[in-house]
Amino acid sequence: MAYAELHCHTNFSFLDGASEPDELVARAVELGLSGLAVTDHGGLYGVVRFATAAREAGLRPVIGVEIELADAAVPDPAGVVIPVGRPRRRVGGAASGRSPAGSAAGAAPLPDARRGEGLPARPRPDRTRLPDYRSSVKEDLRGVGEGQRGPHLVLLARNAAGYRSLCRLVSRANLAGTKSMPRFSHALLAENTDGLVALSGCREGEIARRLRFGDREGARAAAERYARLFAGQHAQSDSVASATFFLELQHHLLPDDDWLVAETARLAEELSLPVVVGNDVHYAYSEGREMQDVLSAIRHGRSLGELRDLRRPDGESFLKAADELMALPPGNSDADAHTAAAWAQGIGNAGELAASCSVDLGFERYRFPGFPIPKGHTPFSYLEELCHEGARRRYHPISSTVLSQLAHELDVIERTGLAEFFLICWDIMRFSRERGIPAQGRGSAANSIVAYVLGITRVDPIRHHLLFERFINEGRASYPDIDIDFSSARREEVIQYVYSRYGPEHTGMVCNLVTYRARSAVREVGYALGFPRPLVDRVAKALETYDSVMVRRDLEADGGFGGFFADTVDREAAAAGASNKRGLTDRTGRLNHPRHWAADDKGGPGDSPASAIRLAGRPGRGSGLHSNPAQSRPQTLRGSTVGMSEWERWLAFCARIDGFPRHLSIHSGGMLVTAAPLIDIAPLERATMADRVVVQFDKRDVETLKLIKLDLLGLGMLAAIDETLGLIESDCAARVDLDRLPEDVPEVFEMLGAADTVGVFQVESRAQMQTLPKSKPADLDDLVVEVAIIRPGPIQGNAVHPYLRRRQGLEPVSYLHPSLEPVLRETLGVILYQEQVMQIAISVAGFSAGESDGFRRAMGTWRSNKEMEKLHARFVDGCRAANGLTDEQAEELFRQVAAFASFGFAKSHAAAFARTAYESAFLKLFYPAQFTVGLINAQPMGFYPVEVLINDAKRHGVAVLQVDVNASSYKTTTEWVGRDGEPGYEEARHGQRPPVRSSGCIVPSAESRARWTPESATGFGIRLGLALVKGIGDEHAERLDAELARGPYATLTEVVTRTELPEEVIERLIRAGALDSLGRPRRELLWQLREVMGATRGRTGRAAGQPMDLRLPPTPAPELPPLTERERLGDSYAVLSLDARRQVVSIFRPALERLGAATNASLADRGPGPVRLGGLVVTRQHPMTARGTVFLALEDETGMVNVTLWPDAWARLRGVVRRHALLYVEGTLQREAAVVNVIASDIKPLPAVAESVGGPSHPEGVRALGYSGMHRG
Amino acid sequence: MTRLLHEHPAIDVDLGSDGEPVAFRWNGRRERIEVCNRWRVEESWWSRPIARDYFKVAGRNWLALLYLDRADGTWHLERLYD
Repeated sequence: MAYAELHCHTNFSFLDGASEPDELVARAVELGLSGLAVTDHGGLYGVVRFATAAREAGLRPVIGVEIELADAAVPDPAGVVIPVGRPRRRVGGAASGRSPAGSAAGAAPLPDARRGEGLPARPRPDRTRLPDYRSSVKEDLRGVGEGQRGPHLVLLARNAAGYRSLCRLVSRANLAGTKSMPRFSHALLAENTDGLVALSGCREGEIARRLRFGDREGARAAAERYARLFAGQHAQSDSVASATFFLELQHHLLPDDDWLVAETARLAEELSLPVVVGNDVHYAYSEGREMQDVLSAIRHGRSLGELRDLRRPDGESFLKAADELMALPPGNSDADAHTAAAWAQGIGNAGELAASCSVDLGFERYRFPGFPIPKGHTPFSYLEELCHEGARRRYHPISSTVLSQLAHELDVIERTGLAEFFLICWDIMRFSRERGIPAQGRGSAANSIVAYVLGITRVDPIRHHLLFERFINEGRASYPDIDIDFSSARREEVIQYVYSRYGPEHTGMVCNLVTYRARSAVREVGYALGFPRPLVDRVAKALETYDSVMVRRDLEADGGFGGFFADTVDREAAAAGASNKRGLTDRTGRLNHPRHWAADDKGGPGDSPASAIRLAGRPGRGSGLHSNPAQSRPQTLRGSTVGMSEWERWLAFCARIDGFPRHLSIHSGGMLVTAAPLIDIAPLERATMADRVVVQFDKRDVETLKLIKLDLLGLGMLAAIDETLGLIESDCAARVDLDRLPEDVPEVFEMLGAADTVGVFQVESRAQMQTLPKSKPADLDDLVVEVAIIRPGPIQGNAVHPYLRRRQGLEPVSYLHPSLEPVLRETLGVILYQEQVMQIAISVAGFSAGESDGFRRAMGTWRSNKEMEKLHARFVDGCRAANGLTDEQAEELFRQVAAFASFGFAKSHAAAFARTAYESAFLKLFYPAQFTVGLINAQPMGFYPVEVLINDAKRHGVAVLQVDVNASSYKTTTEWVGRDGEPGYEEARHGQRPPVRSSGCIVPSAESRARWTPESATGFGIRLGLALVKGIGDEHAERLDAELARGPYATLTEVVTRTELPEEVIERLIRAGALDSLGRPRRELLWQLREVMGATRGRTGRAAGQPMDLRLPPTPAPELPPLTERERLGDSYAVLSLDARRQVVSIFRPALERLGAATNASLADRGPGPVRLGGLVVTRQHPMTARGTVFLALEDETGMVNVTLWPDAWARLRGVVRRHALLYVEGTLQREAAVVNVIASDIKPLPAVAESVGGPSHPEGVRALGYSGMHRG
Repeated sequence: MTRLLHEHPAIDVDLGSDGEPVAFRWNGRRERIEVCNRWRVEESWWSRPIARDYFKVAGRNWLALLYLDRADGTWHLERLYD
């Protein structure tokens, strides 16, 4: 009998479904089901993935949803259906009413005057919001069982109209409801029944609820009402293929299930309604109920033991085959004949109903919103005109190469029908140019000369020999994407523009699925399993990884937890050694994730008090409870966890929950723009951000649906450069036009070659700094390689070292096979670019252009191993047949290509980024003060914390001035300090000692300064802004700047009343030295602060800015000891995480000298050998590609140095390194070209070491310092 | 009057062709029974796993609650209604 399961939850029911769509599909195929429906709660989140997986597996997908209704179908005076009296707890302030007029005005239609310029005619120009929009209210549903919520109903889409109804219904309910709590009413349901089939649902459906309550009449009336509702104009039909309402029969072996099935079957017979059997599936295998219970516990914020009836009472909600369902009691011989007949009928009907449902999720024809064009033009002819106009601007003269490339691209664009897409992007760029919003295209679009001449990208594809086919080719199954970076500070303006331009009905943000990662998994699973919170927190903090499957590795490595896994550690280490021998990647180049562990250890004694208490409190742990040998061999990823130790179970669930969706957030910049109203194509829901609507599909889904997505991204560097240019203009009255900046300023390349790149876009990371002195880029092309090379892809593909050696002339350029030479010549024989992968597929393995892009994409996304194997065979055979490679050569080539492709960079992307890197390097070199200010104000961005940026600026001779209420504005600014040697220069630097300039610092020569900068450029220093003080945020900006402009603060009272800052923030200001300009000692100010706050309490606001009439002057402070330098520094680090005057390591310098430690600056002139160092950790990296090696960037007052910890050193020193920021390192100095590296052999906390030789001990506050930068990179 | 049997004594059960009990023996008496209701319980798998199929059965003298322990396949008597 063909059976299809029509009531099935995937893990996209968000914490109420324990299997991924793929797993359910695979199991359904295994069980021989003819179809499978996805009916997640209140949304269509998983349908695209599910439908794709089902189609690939040859299973009929049925798309549906299970909704929770807000009202009853027929009157419900007894409160059977809609439970009364449930306390409605709301979280946070209830936002009510309409939002402020500002945002409404922002989305209002543009004035008529601008219509003529080619604005699209919007279908409903009066509409600024989607229908049924209500402001958001959050509701806390933890601890609220299903029985206390509204009745359920399952809806399935029979056809395209049905899918549209589902989208509309889900969207409207979401917009009418609250975030993650859509509101489905019967009125809404009645408007959207076209093409839908309804099932009466589980035991929480209205009919089942009424039956269970004994309200047969009500149940009957409700069933009749539903039948009428879904029948529409047609009478309810007898045939399953056209019936629209079914009573659902379910049997989960609960005490009253026999009765409920019999009653429902009777009702069906009385009303002549068809029945269908479903199992309300929540997991694919019966063991999944354990995961399901854990998810329920997480959802309700309780531990398993406290869940009680919030757990599903049965463990039977797994996917069952027809014969398993037939074997249930209603199908048994002793069930009454009616029920047995209905049950058998219901199973048959399910298969038949599934067969009648068919939805095609291809929306190609709805792609474009219709871009209006001037009369007499088609979109294509208009695009052509714009391109030729643009070409005349970009190229002088226009060469024949340019013309032929342009003609070729336009030809492809015409045939693929993408003209409108380019016009949309062009229009967005036009808007940002008009508004002065920095913007530039990135990614594969930079391969296109059309994008270049339209001003979308800034990279000339002719000049860089880029491959247009990487962007668009006719064989490509999916659509090109244009990613545009905007200044992160102003991206929102662009998004608002797109909304207003195409209307909210046609525009939506793509969602981003937030899934479980290591820390969230450890925490939430830990709480659910009942581990004490402090222990869970400790474990979560001990993690380095983001991958929840790798949790075990981290915990085993950590001293505090290793004991729990004592049995496995040795075996794991042996296994790890074996896998290292094989390399980090397997045959197909995929990373070797140890996803399967033998997990039969018993746990062991822990060494932390919390763990010890925990375990002591559970005497029964692991004590022969489970004697069944079949159960004592647990599997980690599937199978029961019964019999595992608590710790094992914790890890097992962490591994299983990996990648489970938890909630939605807005994708960083994906915008969907469609022709048909979006609400007909995709389900919408509200985002957390006010007034923002997201599509329930993520970017992969959107691609599958063949819709057009624009990626509008925010890039901090563009904001930083924009601000830098603004500052240069206001400080030096000079305009730097980066578009006209020559590409060959030699000192910029000298600086890059010296790795003097803190703050420079893309090349500031540790790994970049380690390679720059070897690769020594000499022109922009070299810089493109540099940007592309330090990526996980090339590192894994073993490309970096060969390239660097060849670049330095240490080894000859060679090719795996002569046929590779034309493709790889520009990169000296190594694969660096995605374009090269395609070219290899084309010219070496004999793929067509279209196939080569498919090949590249498949390698990058790892859809399935089966697909990979197919491509692998095809590639190897192709290499042999077309070019006569040997088997080994072909396999090696495939391995290189595969290892690279998963992380690779498009050359076009690298070229676009290299240009920005070059520009930022130029600005850093010639305008260091302005550039650093730009970087500081664009934080968070880049690789280094602010402290490193200002220390670096100081080393380049820029004065850094401390935070001062009488000089600092909210943001960090530049301030005139005078040029070196001028009178007053020293005083302006506030007594700062001259900067220690390390030899690695490149400073432009006088001649080139004269050429590139105005004379005044060197006279500026950096005045740190008040925003750096913790507790001062954007909300204070306006007041602080206004008060600063009004005049200086003379007393503490004035500061308190005029700034209206809270007491603890003023205290921080005092401690940071920001009130030193009041002329009173800090201790005295702190003494008086409480009193002044008390006197002014209640007056701030009303009397702000008025002369104060205090009855009593503040009590004079007693004689207080002045602040020591150590205390001052500690305070400064505690409040600002930095100090303007000196780097913290300098106070340990005398002790370090006694220990014979070197300064970082002196390492450049030192030979290889043993070395001792003291420094502050500014970044710590644990790259996946480095096989367990850890890198620390250690800074002292003279510079930064890279410290490497090999895996064994890390295992030994992990505790110290994780807990301390100030470190004393003993190790060996290594040199390679100009690159200096210290291999650590021993690391101790610096303050302790310094104390032992009589140096300064721990300064207050230093503990907290530097941690801001510790988890970057 | 209900008797709750704390230690859930093991009992001998005769099974019918469909795997459901038709008679059980306890305290030296055997009685034919009919199943009135049945349900499955799976509990506390994270601490002391319980996996049982319960049967409410009626005989000539006894009304009883039996269960099959699915972990080891033994039958137990949990409750006896006089």
